Parts: sequence; C-alpha cells; structure tokens
Amino acid sequence: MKMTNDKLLFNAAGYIAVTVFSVLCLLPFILVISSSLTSETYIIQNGYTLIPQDISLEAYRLALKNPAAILKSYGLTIFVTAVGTALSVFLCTMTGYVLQRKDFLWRNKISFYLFFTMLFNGGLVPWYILIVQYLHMKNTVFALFVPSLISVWNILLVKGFMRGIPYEMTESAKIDGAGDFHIFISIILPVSKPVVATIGLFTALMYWNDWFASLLFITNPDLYTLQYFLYRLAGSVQALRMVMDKAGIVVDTLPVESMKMALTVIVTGPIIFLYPFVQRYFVKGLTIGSVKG
Amino acid sequence: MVKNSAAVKKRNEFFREFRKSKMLILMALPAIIHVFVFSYLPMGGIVLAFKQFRYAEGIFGSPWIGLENFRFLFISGQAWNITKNTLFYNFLFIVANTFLQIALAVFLSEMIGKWFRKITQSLMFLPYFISWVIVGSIAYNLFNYEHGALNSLLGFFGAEPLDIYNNPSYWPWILVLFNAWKGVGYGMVVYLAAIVSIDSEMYEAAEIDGANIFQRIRHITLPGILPTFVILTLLAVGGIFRGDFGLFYQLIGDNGVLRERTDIIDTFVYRALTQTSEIGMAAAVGFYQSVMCFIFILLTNWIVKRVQEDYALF
Amino acid sequence: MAIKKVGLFAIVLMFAAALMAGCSGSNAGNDNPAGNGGQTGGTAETERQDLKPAELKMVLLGDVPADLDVMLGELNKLIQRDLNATLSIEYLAWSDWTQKYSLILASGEPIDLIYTSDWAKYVSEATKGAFLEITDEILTKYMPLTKESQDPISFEQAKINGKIYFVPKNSASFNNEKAVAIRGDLREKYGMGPLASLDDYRTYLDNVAKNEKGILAYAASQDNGFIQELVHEQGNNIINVGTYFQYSWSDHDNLTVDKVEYKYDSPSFAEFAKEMKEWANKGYWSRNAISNKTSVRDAFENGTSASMVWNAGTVSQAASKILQAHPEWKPEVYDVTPDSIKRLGLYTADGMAVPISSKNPERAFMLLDKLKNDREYYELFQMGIEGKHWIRIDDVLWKEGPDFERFSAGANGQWGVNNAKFRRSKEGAFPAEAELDKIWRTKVVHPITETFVFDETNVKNELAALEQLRTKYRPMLTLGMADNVEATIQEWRDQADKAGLKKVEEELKKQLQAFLDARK
Repeated sequence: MKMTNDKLLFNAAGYIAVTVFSVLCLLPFILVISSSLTSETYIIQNGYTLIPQDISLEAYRLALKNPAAILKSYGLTIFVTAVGTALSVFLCTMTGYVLQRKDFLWRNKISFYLFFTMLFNGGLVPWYILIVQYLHMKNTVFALFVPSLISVWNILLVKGFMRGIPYEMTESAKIDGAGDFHIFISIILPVSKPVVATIGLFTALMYWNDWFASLLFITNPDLYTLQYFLYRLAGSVQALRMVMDKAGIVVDTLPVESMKMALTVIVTGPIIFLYPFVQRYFVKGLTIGSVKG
Repeated sequence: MVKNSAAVKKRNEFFREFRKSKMLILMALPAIIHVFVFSYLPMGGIVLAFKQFRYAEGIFGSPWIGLENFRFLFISGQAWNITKNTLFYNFLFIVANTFLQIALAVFLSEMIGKWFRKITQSLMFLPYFISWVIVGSIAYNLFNYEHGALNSLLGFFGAEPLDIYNNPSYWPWILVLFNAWKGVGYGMVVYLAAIVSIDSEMYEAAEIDGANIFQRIRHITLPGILPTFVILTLLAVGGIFRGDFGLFYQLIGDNGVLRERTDIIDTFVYRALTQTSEIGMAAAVGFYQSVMCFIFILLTNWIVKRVQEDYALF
Repeated sequence: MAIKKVGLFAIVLMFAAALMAGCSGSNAGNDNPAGNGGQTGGTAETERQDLKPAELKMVLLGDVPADLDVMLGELNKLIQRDLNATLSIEYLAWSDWTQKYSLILASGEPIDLIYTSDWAKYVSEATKGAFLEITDEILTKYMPLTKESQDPISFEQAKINGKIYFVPKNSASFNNEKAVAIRGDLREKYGMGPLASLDDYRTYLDNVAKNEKGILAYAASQDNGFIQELVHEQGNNIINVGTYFQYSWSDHDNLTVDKVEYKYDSPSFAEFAKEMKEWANKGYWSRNAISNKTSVRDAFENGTSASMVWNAGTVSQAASKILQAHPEWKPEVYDVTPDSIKRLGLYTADGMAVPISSKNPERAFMLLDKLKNDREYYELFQMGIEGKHWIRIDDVLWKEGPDFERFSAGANGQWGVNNAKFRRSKEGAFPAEAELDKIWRTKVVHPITETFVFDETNVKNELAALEQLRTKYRPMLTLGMADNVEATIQEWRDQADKAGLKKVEEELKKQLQAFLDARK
C-alpha cells in the first residue's frame, strides 16, 4: 500500500487524536489500580496517586476475605451473562430482521409498539410487584436475566443495519422455497456479523455490569452478582454516615476508598478481554462481499 | 352496505397478511410477549402519578388526586430551569459524543498499524467500567482548590489556581468532557460496525478513480453511516428529557453554588423525594419526562419519515 | 422446511419454558407461612402447643453478618420452644435500603417485623398505612412484658395523630448532643488548658489554623450540619420543631405558637452564618468543603483534621482508635457547651413495626416482646453466641470473642429492640462517653414538643420544593461560601416564600396548637 501525502496526513492526525484519547482513558484506570494498592490513610491524606504509595494489600485482603463467595459470584455472573446474552442476541436479531422486511405490512406498527415502551414505564413499584408477587421470581436466577432479555434499542439497531442487506437476497431464497426462519439463520445472520457482534458485546456488558436486578430481587447471598458487591460497598458510606449521626450507633469504618478501587479491578478484570475477542468481527468485507461473490 | 364492506375488507386484509407472514409473526412473537409482560403490564402503574398511594388500598384502590403530585415540580419555580438544563446538556452530549465517535471510528477503520488499533480500541473502553461514584472522587482529586492535581500543575507553571467547584461557568465543559470520556469508547463500536459494513468494492473503485482518503471518507464512509447516525440520534432523542443521574449527582452533588447551572430533572427529583418517599410524586415526574420525550420523538421521527422513510424508527 | 419450523418452535418453547420456570421458581420462605398464628387469648406463656407452627420473617437494615445463620440456629431453639415458630431475617443493605424499603412494603410480600425509626421512614410509611396500629389491647394480650417495662414517653413520641404504629426501643441515649474531640498534643503546644466553653474551642481552632500546615482545624464536609448543631443550636439553647422551625428554651415554659419562628430568619442564625464566613476565611476548612466527601471523622482519625464534632459515642470511639494507632496525638473529648440543656435522643430513633402484610401479627408481637425483655433472647439476638462472638466479663462489661468479626454486637441492625436494662459497655472503651453520659443524665430536660410529630401530607409538595432550596442555600451559609451573608439569607427567604413557606408554617402552627391544647 502506497503512502501518499493524504494518507500521511490522515494517519498523523489519527495517531495524535487516538493516542491522546487512549491515554486519557488509560490514566484514570491506572489511578484506580494504583489506589487499590495504596493504604487508606495515604489516600485520605493525599488523595489518589498514579504510583502506589505506602503499599497495602488490605483492600484486596478484605475484598477477597471470602474467596468462596467471590468465586461463586464470578461463576454466577458468567453464567447469567453467557445465557442471557445468547438468548437476548438471538431474539433481538430475529425480531430486528422481521421488522425490516419491507413486505411485512405490520412492521411499523410493531416497531411503534416496541418503541413505546422505551418512552413510558410504570415505575419501580409495579415492576417489582409483577416480578416478585406475580411471577415469583424473587431470589431465583431467572430474575437476573429474564426481565432484561429484550432490548428494544438493540432490536431497532439491528433493524437499521439489516436494512442495508439487499432485499434480493431474501427474495431469491424465497423463490427457492426457503422459509423465513431458515433465511434468517442461514443467509442473513452470516452477513450481519458486525451488528450481531456489536449487540452481543453490549448485551454481555449489560449483564456483566448489572447490579440493579440483584438490588431489587435478590436477598440470598448465593445469588449476588459481582457488580452488586461493589455497589453495596460504594453506596454504604453515605448511608452509614447518616446512620451514625441519627442513631448514635458506632459502626466501625472500613478502608472504603481503597476497597472501592480494589473491587472495581476485581470486577472489571475479566470482561476487558471480551472486547479484543470480539474485535475480529469488526473487519471489512464480512458483509456485502459475500453477496457479490 | 358500503361501510360494512370497508370493515370486511379490512378484516380480510388482516387475515391475509396474517397467513402470508405467519412465520415472521412467530419470529417476532417472543419479543412481543416479553415486552407485553415486562413493559406493558407494569405500565398500569402510571396511574400512581395521579393518586395518593396508600398501602392498604394498593395501586388501584388508592384515591385519585388529579394533578396534585405534579405541583412540587412547579411551585419551586425550578421547572423551567431544570427542563432547560436537561435538554441543553443532552443536546450537547449527543452532538459532542456523536462527533467524537464518528471521528474515532473513521480513524480506527482506516489507520495503519493493526496492533495499535486493537490496543487503543480496548483502552478506550476502560472508562465504561469506572462507576460515576469513583469518577466523582477522581474529579475531586483533580479539581479541588488546595490539593488538586490541576492546581498543583498550574502552580508548577506559576499560574494562578482555579476554584473549579465554586465557579459554575466551567461546568458545562467539564460535564461534556466527562460524559464523552465515559461513553465514546463504547458508542464508537456501533459506528465501527457501520463502517465495516460498507461495501469495500466502493472504496477500491474510488481509489482507482483517483480519490484521496479524505474524499473517500466524505463521499463513501459518511454517507454509508448515515442510516446508523439517524437511528442512533433518533434513539437518543427518545430519551432527551432523561438525564444521566449518576454523572450529575456524583460530580456535582449538593453544591448549591453550581445548582442553577447544572441541575437537571433527575437530580431535582431525587433530592425532593429522599425526605418523603412519595411514590406518586416520583411517578408524576417520570410521566412528565415520558410525555415530553414522546412529543419530541413523534416530531423528529415524522420529519425523518418525510425525508427518507427507511430511516425512521417507526 | 418442516425441520426448520420445528426448530423455531423448539426455541419458542424453550423460551416459554424459561419464562414459566421463572414463574414457579423456588423461593423458600417467601410465600405464606404454613399456618396461621391462632391463640387462646390467654396471656400466660406456658404451653405453646395451642399455637400452630408459624414462620416469621424480619427485615433489618445493614449488611448480613457472616454468622447470621449460626445465631439464628440457637435463637430459633428458644423461639420454637416458647412460640412454636421459626424466624428468618432479611437484610436491606445500606446502599439499597432507601429504594427497597417502600418497595417491599408496597409489594405486599408477607413481612412480620421490620425495623423502622424516625429517620428510617416511620412517619412517611405509617401515614400511608404500612404498619399495624399498636393498641392497648395488643400490648395487654401479646406484649405484657413490654407494657410493663416500656417507658411511656416513648409511646408519646411515637404518636401520629394520636395513634401509634410501631414499638420504639426502650433505651435512650444522648445520641444527638454534640461533643468535641481534639488533638491533645496540639492543645498543649499552644499552652491551652482543657476546653471548657465554645470560646475555648474557637481559640483552639484559631491556633491551629494560624500555625499548622497540612492539617485543617476542622475538615468540614458537605453541609457542616454538626457545627451548626453545636455552635448555633447548642450554643443558643435552641429547640427544633420540624426541619424549618425553632424556638428558644427560654420560652419553653410559656410556649405559644407565635414564639416558634422560621429558623433561617432568626437573628441567631444570621449571626452564626456570619461567624461561619469568618471561619471559612481563616481557612478552618477547605474552600471546596462543599464537595468534600470525606467525613470529618475519617479526617480526624487520619490526621488531616485537628478536631471532630459528633455525638459523644462516636467521638469517643474515634478517640480510642487514635489512642491505639497514634498515642502521641493524645486525643481528648470535651463538652464545650456544658451549660446547655441536655436532651436525650428520641426513643423513636429505633424501633420495630409489624407491617399490614404480616400473616402472623399476633406471633410477631409475642416474639418482639421476648426479644426486648427476655435476657436470653436479647443477648443472643444482639450479641451472638457467648464465648464465640462475645465474652461476658460481668453483667455490664463485655469484650470481643474470637469470632467477633462474624457477628459484631450492635452493628447488625438490632437496635430496634434496645433495652436500657440490658445495656452493656465494651471493655476498654474511651472513658469520655460514660463520663459525659453520667453528668448529662443529671441535667436531662424533656421539652414538651419532644413528642410532637408533624404530619406532612397536606404540604408534601411545598416541603419537597423547600427541600430543594435548603440543600442549595444551607451549605453555602454553614460553610461560609456566600459572598454576602445577609443577601443570601434574604434570597433564600424570598425563594422559600414562593415555594410555599407560609403554607407550611400555618399548617405546622395549626398542628402544634392542637398538640399544645391537648396537653393543657
């Protein structure tokens, strides 16, 4: 590939912009890692540091005090993420495909029916009552992934992307006698890898990071997800302060600052590797190329 | 007779479509059912916005009180300000983030250096994992007057320290920057997917025709991602009256000096309702936001439909 | 084609199965308990075969202690023996409870006992009808021990419109009176004697601010509420009525509603705000204190603050922690307003209620009676297993047991059943707390408004609006950030008027008048 002037300029600009932004993204994370290894006293006195000072593994020791619980939580979170993502991606891509079929008369009505739910919702109380009282999902693993199985945002995104696939592909398959589902699986999906990878990534991240479902529906510590641990600790400080004030209770304080950091590292660790794994789907020529060929 | 036949015609059309698209309907059915159960059933709770909730009577038995729950939004005199702020910031966020996401996606899809691209893409994702709680603390570490990193740096160069937390004019910039920092790596993925979905033959043809890289970007890449841009923007407009509570609450908190400039609907409501726990009032605000979003998206979607029907959301 | 169709059906079926399985998912202990708690109407606790078995669920605030099940194993032996019931406890974590509390009550899931208090949603939930009323009949039939031993003032404090909806704890401590902890080494450095007044404290702060680098005199954060309580309220013997109103103790004996004034209008507040501005200018705290999230306690324990203001218990705990880590700092605790009136914290600061969703309210009350008044129940519930989690020294003193971390006495949300009769002190606690407690008890007063509860239903909108203003303006004034103190107070007042302050004032005074009349 020849390096012409325009390419040079472009790459130079690109390298500068991307490097600056990447560094800005990396630095705070280094701050987090480094602070997780710094003693609580140092942090209160001097704030966060880029290089660990007064090194203390206290935060990790406390966080990992119950390795069995953390491992169980990891396992659970991986399970929920894997199952939830697989199911959700399958259903959302399928629905997205249906909604972009020009020959489907009801597509706009159904799109609106789905989109409407992104605008209006009844609030926490009816949602909670439905899932706990009527569906009896409290303290079940289903509460962790079933309610968020359908993402209208993802469906509409897939719909938009699949519109770029020429209708001729579907048409010629139909002429050959293929059913819609078969067309979806064997013809459309293979050329939709980028968007499937995208919503796959987003869905996996959503499940991995979700603490809200745990907050609402789980009281059994065996079913805590990883992010929920972190959330509990982070939020507890403010509430604890109020309690100590009002009730005169003397509750011993934890090394909260460094522990928040340690937990972020523990929770984030594995999922960072998901994106590099998925990156190979973001390569040109995975889509239309196969049509012409 | 005429009226009847119109109704009959409609009904026949319905069944005809049903028979023709049976499989498609079946494929969409899981989503339709799921959404019905988990989104439409609880939607009945919207009535709480107009009721004085009492436990013994439950959602449907509690007494109606009309628009009483909405009053607190307006008697504080803040309704216009927080609505304006919410809109203003969301607008800025959409513009800034979209621009950065597209720019970075374009660079990353065309640049040379495979390993550099792979590594930086992953790095740009990191902010997504850091919660706003921690970001708020990091910001305080950066900006505080006496010991903040920013002022230490300025001092090193002999400049005057800045009192960020007492000065509202810095904050629109700060909020936009922090919001972009957190979300760009994540949102960029969609544009990346859109770019690689563009037919590569078009690029090759253009290059043969003598177009340089900037021209290729302008004439192939950007139009190629236009549908994606429209969808993402429409989806964002659908939430334009809802703010990112975490961002505003953790960075600004209860700082009264900055209140006027940075208060949004979500933080306003949170503050109002922590003392009482009025379920009806919370529902009222949610409803207000929903209605406003609804109006906006109907308008925007309609405009898009007139220009290019394919790009509209519904 | 048929195969593909089957494939799709299989998937839809699987999805439906998942949904259905979720519907009938197992969740022990959440459904209605096995039997209904019938009773024969007698008050004797002899034979319990007349009671059908019952499962009781209790909800507490806090984090699940590691040895919860161990403790419950032992406790349930007693409960089974005496009440033919078993207890399970669910915890609402500190991070969740504000959101979840109303939610679980609203959902109607059966809960038999729940922690509540004046700061944990008692009034707001009771007025929505969440809890069962505690009538005299209930006390007589199911809680005889409580009826006999509970301090009657506690019930007075719990009344909302003449009715009581929870059972307060039976002990009161000085958890609101503020004391001060300082660095003895610094005090000696500046040749000061022990602190005996607010002026002494002011001198101390001044010395530190002028001469010490790297340590703040008082590392204020967020709204600086404690300094307001210490300097403005304790310093002026002010008594609060609701969040926005106050009156002076000197008016107490002839109290009429017109002596109650809007707090932030009062001359004493203006004076206080101006003093805070001086303190800020002298650098007692950071210029960005308003955004500082580190508590003054953390700062004091870690050496970034030279003093700390909190209640006597917390201040003492901080001091004892420092004594272990940095004895050279010589922590000291003082009451710098020794002549101010001393008030016990409200009994309503902790208590237990029975939600209307309970399927076994009678049994719940009976259990509560035992937990509060039976020493064996009490010590197990509060402190865990003797020898394992705590070690008895005598009837009052105790110390940590080998497994103390797995069940830390007093930190597991059990404060709702606190009983002064069984109060214990930990061995080796910093003496100040006990000393101050002894002195203050001889000076306790009970303002008549102590038991006044303001029903906010009619003015909830105005209060929500006022809250916005309060969180905006108060920190600016208490931290001395306002450029012009008087102008800011006035601005706040004007905004408050627009938000409906007058309406709230009228409503409050109306209720207060009725309250005072009823007591004549």
